[in-house]
Amino acid sequence: MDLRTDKENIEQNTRQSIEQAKKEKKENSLFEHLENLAEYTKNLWHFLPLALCYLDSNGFILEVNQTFEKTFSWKLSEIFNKPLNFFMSEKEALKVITQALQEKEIINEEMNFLTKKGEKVPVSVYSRARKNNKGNVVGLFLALTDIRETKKFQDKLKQKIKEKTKELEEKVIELEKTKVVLLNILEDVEEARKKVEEEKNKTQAIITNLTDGLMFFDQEKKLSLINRQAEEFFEIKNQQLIGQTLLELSKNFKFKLLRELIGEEIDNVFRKELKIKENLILEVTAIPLTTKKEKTGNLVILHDVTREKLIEKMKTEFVALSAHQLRTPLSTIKWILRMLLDEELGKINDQQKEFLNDGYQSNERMISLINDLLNVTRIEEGRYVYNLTPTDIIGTIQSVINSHQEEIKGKKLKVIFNKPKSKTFKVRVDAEKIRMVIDNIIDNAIKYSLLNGEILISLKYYKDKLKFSVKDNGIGIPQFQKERVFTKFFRGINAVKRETDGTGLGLFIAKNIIEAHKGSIWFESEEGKGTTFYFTLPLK
Amino acid sequence: MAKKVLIIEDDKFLRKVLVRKISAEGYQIVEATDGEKGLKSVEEEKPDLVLLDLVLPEMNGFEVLAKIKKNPNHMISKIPVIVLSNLGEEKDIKKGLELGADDYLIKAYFTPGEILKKIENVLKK
Repeated sequence: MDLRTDKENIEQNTRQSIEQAKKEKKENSLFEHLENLAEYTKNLWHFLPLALCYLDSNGFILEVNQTFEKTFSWKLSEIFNKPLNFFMSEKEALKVITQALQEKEIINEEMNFLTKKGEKVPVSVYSRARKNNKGNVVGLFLALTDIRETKKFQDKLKQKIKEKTKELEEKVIELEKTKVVLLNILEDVEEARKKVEEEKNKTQAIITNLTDGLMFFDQEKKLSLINRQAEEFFEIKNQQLIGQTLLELSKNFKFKLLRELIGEEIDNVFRKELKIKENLILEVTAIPLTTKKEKTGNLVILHDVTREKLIEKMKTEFVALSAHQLRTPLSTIKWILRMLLDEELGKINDQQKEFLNDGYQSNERMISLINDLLNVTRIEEGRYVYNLTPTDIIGTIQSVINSHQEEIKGKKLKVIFNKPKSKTFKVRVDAEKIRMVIDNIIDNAIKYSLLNGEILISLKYYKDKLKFSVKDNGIGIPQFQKERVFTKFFRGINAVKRETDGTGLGLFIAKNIIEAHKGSIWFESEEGKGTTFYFTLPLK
Repeated sequence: MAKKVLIIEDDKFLRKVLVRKISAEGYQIVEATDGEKGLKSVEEEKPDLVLLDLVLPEMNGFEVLAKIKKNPNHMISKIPVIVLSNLGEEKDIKKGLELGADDYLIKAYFTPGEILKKIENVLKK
């Protein structure tokens, strides 16, 4: 039994030794492991680019890493065992600690942290409780990120955003203002449009309700407007005619009459009469319409003169009748005075003769005045007929001169007649009327010549016309009266003073006669120096 | 034998002057104061010449003239007629001459002496 025990003891001791060795070896290796782990942790702790700090459960700093030291310029030795509220505000520190102890994490919360330089730096805070292997809280970890740059950046960004916002706001305000302005403008435009519309309506109303007929032809001579009155004149019912030329309109007989007057091209016409039908006489005026020197078309104005014409006719008839009635007693006076003067009713003495002769001359003047009046009314009535016959104008002139010999001699006038050198030929005119014109012009020259004056009468033939002129060196026509020379009842103010004779109708009649022959009549005159009258007649 | 002149004229003063002037030359005068009476006198008196006014009561001168000149009796239609009127328009003159008047005189433009000469001229034909 002993033997066995020894052996067993040795075996047991060996085994124990081995176990011991094994145990020791195991312990050594564990220790090594532990050391390695500690080193690893330390390296990692310092390597992390995050400021880290370990505090005990009362909030006193136990450990910080290098990043912490760098970031806040503190050495661990300087801050070891300092409470957290040394670095942070009481409130923030308390929050961090209590949260951690209650095992609640703080993630990315912005707080301020005191640096060694005394600055309070904005930091982003993370915190978490540290537990031991039994799960008990033994302290807390704090991770801090310096967010100064971020802050700066953020502030800058904020500032920028603010600026931009402000800018935007300003822009918005500006836009608002612009909008208001635009709205105002729009309103103004609208108002202006309304006004234009109103004006247009007004114009339209005026055109429509005008008592004159209006027609407007555009540049292509197409009818673009016709008012109610014009439609009534032409007895048409409306707008189908818009866009037609006058030629196309001429299917209607009344438009044809208008076309005959103003032509397809719409000549400028001023107050020409147009008898559209019985009891409707229109006075037609056609004028080009221009805006800013650009021709936009032609306007045709139709003025109803039926009533005026009727009154004028009545007036003319009245004058003609009165004139005719006046002639009868004047004839009696003429005849009686003539017989007395010719001593057919007994001898009279020289003084009686002189006075009777004055009476006779006055009566003659009266007869000639009435004759002129009749001529005027006839011209105005449009029935001054022109009886064209081949006429020897030279002979007519000569005969007129001869008929005035008495006055010529009385005033001791020198009268020269320059006849054309070419052989004389006859001209187709209304002989009686042309004689009246020539007589009137020569009679005027004599009447308004001074004693010993000179009258130069001349007749010239040209290729297509003849020109007659009478030049005197008499009293002339005052400058301010020249415009009125060819109007009815015109008498020069200086002429009236000198001569009571003269009806003021002669040149009015002369102008009508010459123009009816398609000739022209004019004069040149200087008061006190003399006058020259001219007329031309076309040779056909 | 004195020639017989019929004066158809409604104005008594004109008529008086004419009668005086023409009778002084030895003509026999017959007077009528309107158209109807004038035409009757033409037919009854068969004058050598008629001095005819145009504006007349009852029947105007143109009508009288036409009735004389269109009378089927040659003794009547051949009687010369001088119109003596104050109607002086061409259309009147033309109408008068076309109806067969031998002359057309406007009263206010002619003296009694000139009228007498015209009468003598017509009677000479």
